[in-house]
Parts: sequence; structure tokens; C-alpha cells
Amino acid sequence: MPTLNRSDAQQRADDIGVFNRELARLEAEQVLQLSEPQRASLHEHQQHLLHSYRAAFDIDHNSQARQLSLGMRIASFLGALALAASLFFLFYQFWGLFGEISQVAILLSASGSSLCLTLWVQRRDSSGYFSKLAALVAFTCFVLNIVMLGQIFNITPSDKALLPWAAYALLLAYACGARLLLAAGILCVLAFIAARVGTWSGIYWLGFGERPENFIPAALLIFAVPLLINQRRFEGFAMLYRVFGLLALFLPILVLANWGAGSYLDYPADPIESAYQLLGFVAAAAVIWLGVRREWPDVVNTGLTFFVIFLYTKLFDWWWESMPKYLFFLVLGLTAVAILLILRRLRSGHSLLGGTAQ
Amino acid sequence: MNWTRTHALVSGLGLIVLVNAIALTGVAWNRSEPADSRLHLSERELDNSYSYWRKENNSIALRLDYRWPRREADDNRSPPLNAEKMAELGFSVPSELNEDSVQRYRRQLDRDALLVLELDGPSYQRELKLARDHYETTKHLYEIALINKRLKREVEDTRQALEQEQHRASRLFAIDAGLDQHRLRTRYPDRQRYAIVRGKVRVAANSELLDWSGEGPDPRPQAQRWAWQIGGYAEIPVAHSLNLPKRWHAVFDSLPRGKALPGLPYASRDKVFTAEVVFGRRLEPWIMQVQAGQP
Repeated sequence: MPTLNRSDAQQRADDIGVFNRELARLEAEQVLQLSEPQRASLHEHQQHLLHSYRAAFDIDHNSQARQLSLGMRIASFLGALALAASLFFLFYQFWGLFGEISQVAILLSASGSSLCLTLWVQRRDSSGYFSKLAALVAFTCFVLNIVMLGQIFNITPSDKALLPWAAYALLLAYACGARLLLAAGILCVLAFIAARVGTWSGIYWLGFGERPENFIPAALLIFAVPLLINQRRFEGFAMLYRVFGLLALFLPILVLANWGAGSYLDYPADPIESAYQLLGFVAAAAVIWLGVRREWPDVVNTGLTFFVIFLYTKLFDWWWESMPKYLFFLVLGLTAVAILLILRRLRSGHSLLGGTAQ
Repeated sequence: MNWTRTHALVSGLGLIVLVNAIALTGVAWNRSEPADSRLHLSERELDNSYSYWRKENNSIALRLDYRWPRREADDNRSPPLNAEKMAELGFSVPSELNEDSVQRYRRQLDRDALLVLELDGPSYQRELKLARDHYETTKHLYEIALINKRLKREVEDTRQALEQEQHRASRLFAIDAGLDQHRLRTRYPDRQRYAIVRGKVRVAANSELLDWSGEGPDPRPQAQRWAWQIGGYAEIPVAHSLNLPKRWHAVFDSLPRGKALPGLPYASRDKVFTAEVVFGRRLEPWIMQVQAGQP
């Protein structure tokens, strides 16, 4: 498998465990009996595979190891955040002790050395926990580098800083397989494109958040990335692109469906809100359909979540004031039951939507 | 080290060096001669009292303290930038003012603009004159009616306001805005008195109740009882924090503190100094020199 990643390796290791348990049952029930040479050959092949996966990806070889891995991921995440915050305050605490040239030299060397350290750790750390932690610290160093240069030399704040931050976060994310940094990079790209779209219409760049439509072109671009560039080698990256793309699409629609005054469209708020409510339902349904068809559970779940949010928001608008509360919540409950029934029907008749029946 | 890691290292270091080089080249360009303007400011215009999270931050930053001239003697509610100026800055300004058109006007977002700062110029002299006139008028009224307690307190307040204006208030005023730096510089050629800086402008609209001078209850419909005033405000992002370089920290730490003024009930504990602030080719400021002032 030329593009094997950690997820694939873990899946294969799990499959080997399941296969061995089933083989033992079949032998106990005397349905299948392997000869000794066959058993030895099978065992040798499995051990070879597992050994190579453990060496390359530090996979979990049993359920206890898997639970510990989850704990390590959480510790790595919290540790990375704490180290980044520590670095941030360390800079500020001793900043005044240095002249401008020393400050620039410190910033540059901190960025460069943290990058080298990250790549050095990555070479030695097959688990990835420590290299991801180091990568987040390196990213913090680079963000501080640009922010502090701006402060030292009183540079006018600009959205252009988002672009190198995005590039650096993506570079580290791909180098270390760090999903947290991929998320940071995607957010920087989203903010940069939204700010650019805003400044084309003449507004001050920091005002981009006040027109939610600024995010929609960036959302479509982010969603399309895994379709245009294969992310097979990077575990969970394609899913992150799709989810962030959808969040950047649906959140502005949700905001505009309830706050028409925030739109670029120069019409009264009511028709704008109605149009975005309709768009929200249509887009959520289309996304569910696409997710089922392409077998993207993350897309199905995100689409479904927003479909339910749009539906509940609409029900709230219509009936919260006029209905007794018990009736209102009964309607919500019945709606949830209806959604469950529809989803069950979709699951059983999966091929109706064009997906592959399992 | 395999190809991917080498590639990441070279790309990462290249990105770090490139971004720093671009930023530092911009700084060098900004600070190359000729500078756009040089202002000699004092503690009145450079505020050092803002101490948010100073415990965690041992650098020193000063805040550029500027004011807007009063539009009229007793009018503090009109936005400092009028409707004509807002139109000039690219905002869509309605020709007729009503609830609907003002609502649309308010929906517009902030825009970039250039602001003109004037140091100790006609705007400051006008403020000084307004304060002095106010004091003189109040004092005159009190001299006519000696036993009026309210007037006596007002005389004291206006006297303190005059003292404040003369000795402590910022003499730096934002007096104009535009989009064309060359045109603004032609209009304000004195580079020792007028600095051009980058700012952002936001819309503002106020309504004021029109007095009813007729007899009996006011018969006018609600819409006609109010007069709209539209315009805008501007602010300067870099003014919030001007970094004081390390080479001036020792001077800054040894600066004398302000003394109590005879006319003011409280003493200023601000450090007394003068500083040369230069606005470069990109209109970004930096502190060139700091020296002790007269307490």
C-alpha cells in the first residue's frame, strides 16, 4: 500500500486481531483447521506486518494501549497549548531588556530553532505526540515573530500577516501530521480570504466579520481542497478540510438567516433572512446527499446537524410564542423522531441515494 | 533525514527569512529619509499611564493622545467628520435624511483613510480660546450675581478646565481626513506641525429633538420632531501603542514627575518629557528621541 497512513495501519492491525479471534472460534467449532506450516506462515506474516506498523506508526496493539493513546493525545494537546502560552508570556516578560536588533535576532532564531527542533523531534518520535507538541510551539514562535515585529516597529496592522501564518501552519501540519495546526492554517486562510473579499469592496480589513458573506467563497475553496489535492497520506486531513469548509459555509448562512441586516444585499432584512433560511435547508439537504453518495460520514453529520439547527430555529420562530411550552417541545421531539425514521429509511435503502450499499 | 523533512526544513526556514525580510525592508523604507513629518510631542500627547497587564510585560509603550476639535462651542454630539467629508472618503451619504436612509447609512462598514494630526496649531488655540471665553463669561456672570452658589461652582470648574487646557490637555488634534496623501500634504505643508497617519473611519448618526416653541401640545408627527445628524468618527490603529526603544528606557525611568499646579486640585504624576516622533514614508511612527522636560 504505497500511501499507507497511521489510520490504515491501525485498521489493518485491528483486522488481524479480529481475524485471529474468528479463526480460533472456527477451529474450536471444527469448521476450519490450519496445518502447522500454514499456521506458522500466517503467524510470521502477521508479526512482520504488526512489527513494521509499530515501528513506522506506533500503532496501538490492544484496547488498553488505545485508551492510553487517547490520554496521550489529550496530554499532548493541553501541553502544546500551555507551552505556547508560556512562550507568549516569556517573550513579553523579558521583552524590554533587549534592544531592537537583539529583539529581531531573538525572534528570528526562536522561529528557526523551533522549526529545526520540531523536525529533529519528528525524526525520533514515531508516535507523533512530541513532534506535534513541538510543531505547535514552533507555530506560536512564528506568530509571535510577526506580531512582535509589528509592535517593535509600530507597523500598521494588516490582514497580510494571515497569509504567512497560514502557510507556516500548513507546512508544519503536513510535516508532522498535526490536525490542530491544519485547523489553525485553515482558519488563517478563511480569515485572509474573507478579509480580502471585504477589502475589495473598500471596507477596513478588520470589518470582514461583520459581513458573513465574506466567508462563503473561502468556504467553498476549503471544501474543494481534498477534491483537488489528494490527502490520502494524511490521516483525518480531508475530513478537516470538509468540516471546516462546511462550518464556514453554514455558520454565515445561519447568522444571515437570523440577522438579514448583516448581508451585502441592499434589501429589507425580512426577505434576506427568508432567502438564507431557504438556502440553509437546501444546502444542508444537498450536503447530506453528497455525503451519503461519496461516503463521507463527516459531511453527512455536519449537514444533518445544520439541517436540524435550521429546522429548530424555524420552529422556534413560528411557535415559541404562540404554543404552550409542552406542545412546543412535543413538536420538537416528534420532529426528531421523524428525522430518525427518515435516516433509518435512508440507511436501509442506501443505494437509493447513489451510495454503495453495505 | 528524508526528502520530505528536508523539504519542510528548507521551506520553513525560507518562509521565516522571507517574511522577516519583507517586514524589515518595509521598516527600513519607512525610516529612510525624507520622513513625512516630525512632531515634538510631550507627556501631554504621549500617555504613559495605560498600564494594562504591565506586570507581565516589561517593555514600554506610549499612547498617542489626540483629540477632535469641537464642532460648535456647546455641541459635543455632532460627529467630528461631517457628511460631505464622509462622501469624500467613499461612504454613500443619503441626500434626504429619514429613518430609512439613516438606517442604510449606518449599515456601512469602516473604511481606510488618511488623517491629518495638527500639533499646537489653530485648533488648539481655538480650544484654548473657547475655554478662556467660557471662564470669562461665567466669571462675569458671577460678578453680577455674587450670591449664586451654582455660578460660583461653575466659575471654579471653568477655571480648572482652562488650567487643564493650558497645561495638561493634549495639543494634538485630528483636523482633516482624505484619501490622497499628496493632496493632504499640499493642504498642510508644515511637516513640523502636521502629521499624516493611517486611520479607519466609521459612520455615525445621531438624532436630536427639535424644540417646540408653539403653544399647547406639540402637534408634529414623531418623524418631524427629530433632526438627524450624520457623519463619522476616525481612529488611528497604531496610536494605541508606540514602542519606546530600549535605548530610551534609562532616560525614561529617570524622568522627573509633574508638579502640582496652583490652579488644579490634584497633581499630575505623569513623567515630564519631550519626544521627537517621526512619521516615515509609510506614515508609520517611531520615537526618535526622548529628553526630560520642565516639571
